[in-house]
Amino acid sequence: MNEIPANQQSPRTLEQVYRPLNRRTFLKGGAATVAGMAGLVAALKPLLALEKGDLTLDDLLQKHYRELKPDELQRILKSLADKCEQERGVRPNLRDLKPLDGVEFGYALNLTRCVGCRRCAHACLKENNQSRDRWDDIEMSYIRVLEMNKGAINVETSNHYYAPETVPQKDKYYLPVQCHQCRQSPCTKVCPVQATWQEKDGVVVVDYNWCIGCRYCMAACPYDARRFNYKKPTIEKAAINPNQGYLSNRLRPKGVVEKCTFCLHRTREGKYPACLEVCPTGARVFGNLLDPDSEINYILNNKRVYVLKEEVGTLPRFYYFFDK
Amino acid sequence: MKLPALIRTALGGGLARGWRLGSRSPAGAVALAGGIGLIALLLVHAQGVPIAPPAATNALPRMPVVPRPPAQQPPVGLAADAYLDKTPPRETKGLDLVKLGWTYNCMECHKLFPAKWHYDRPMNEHKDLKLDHGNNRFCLNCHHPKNRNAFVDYDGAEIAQADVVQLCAKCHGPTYRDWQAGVHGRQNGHWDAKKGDKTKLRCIQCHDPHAPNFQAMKPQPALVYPPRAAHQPKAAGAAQH
Repeated sequence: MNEIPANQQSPRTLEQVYRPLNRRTFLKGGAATVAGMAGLVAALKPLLALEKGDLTLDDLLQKHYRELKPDELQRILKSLADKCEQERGVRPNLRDLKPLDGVEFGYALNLTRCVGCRRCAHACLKENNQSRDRWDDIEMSYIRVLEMNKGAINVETSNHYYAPETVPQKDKYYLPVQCHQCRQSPCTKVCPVQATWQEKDGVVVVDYNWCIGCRYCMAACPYDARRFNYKKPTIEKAAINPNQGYLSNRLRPKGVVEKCTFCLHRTREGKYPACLEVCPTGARVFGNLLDPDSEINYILNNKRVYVLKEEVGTLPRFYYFFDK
Repeated sequence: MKLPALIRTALGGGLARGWRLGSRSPAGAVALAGGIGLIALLLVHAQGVPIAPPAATNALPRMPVVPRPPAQQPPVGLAADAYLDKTPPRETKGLDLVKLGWTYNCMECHKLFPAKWHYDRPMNEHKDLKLDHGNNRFCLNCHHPKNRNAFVDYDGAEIAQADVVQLCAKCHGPTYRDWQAGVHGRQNGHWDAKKGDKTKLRCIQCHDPHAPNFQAMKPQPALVYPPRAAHQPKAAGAAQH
């Protein structure tokens, strides 16, 4: 074994030992410094928006919805209303409606009666201020009406682009799907920033000021109930519904997820949701699950009730039922 | 005896499609129809409505066809929700007759006609009625034989027009039970009785009692198929390979 003596080092030049600034190291270090500065500027870029007025200091420093004190919330509501008026020319009646005591919402839909006319999907647009380029663009509607083949409930062979002259078509039935407000909601569990959660009355809501737009919730939802604002919402001034709620149908910013909230700005005031109001065949039933005399409990007690994708274990508050 | 009714018909009903012919014999009917046609021609022409001339000895004169505006249902739900389209599936017909100045007193005419289960000639008055209601092939299945302003109950008693739900309930028990529970049919307004009222539609506001099945309706515009997609949307039930 030829051991190298400890005091015998491999020969190194003085330059190698002391690493003085030569051309190569200078350029390397310079590049790193420039990159670092660029990163810092990028990180602080939202502050430029602050300068321009796109973002207020309140927006930047806002706390999570559930940590807001009432006066802080009122200030945010006012600033959002101001912003809407300034940008869209409509002063909304923007409120934050809290869940009612002793109320848990449930929804049932009669598959025997639904004829697939899509009035619910279009009423959803009128109510909830979704982004749309044309009046009939229901891309962002929270309701998808699936045309299904009679004989099975198989969503894989369904079609939501159907456009025959008249409905209902022979050998078809129609399955409108919207948020099921699940008791075991996968969407709220995957949210990395807790921008979506279940309220006391069972409605799953999104805080659009807190959502970072990662769309994990959309991937987690088994019912395709969530929509994403890929661009800044476009909506005509005349089409804006001024009756707005902070957690439901207020105008959304770009890059956030939105979803059906059972029209909580209506239902928490005791009204029916918009999709139920327009259903021409009366296929939709809405009510309070905690009230034993409610219409929804009549359905659950007396009808054949079906839960969509029961096997995924989401325990929805949205039920389908049959008359015959 | 028939003359006042005829003149009124020519005045108001000349615009509508109803003509009242009381005569039984064909010759009498033709003669009477010619007379009515002449009166109608004079009266209607004075109002500037074009009319086909009363013709042919062996055919009734062609009636003027007047486009009828779609009737409006009474408003349902809350006034604040007027932006939501709450059109029921049925276009009512009775209401536009009222608009044309008719009353709902059916006995004005029907006191002249005996109540019969079956007439061996086509009805002249209610020509637009197409009876497609299961086993109910006769008017008197539902309408009261003595008082046409009312409906008939099991025991021959009268059911008032306003209580038409009770008439339907005679056969449609389970549906009536569901309707009472608020589970069948349209409801609008408030789910929470503490916060406000709701409006509940009655049977004939959605269903045409003479043909209660809903007519097929035109669906609202479909979701736009993404233009970036390479293929046409697959029809539901297309073969899956």
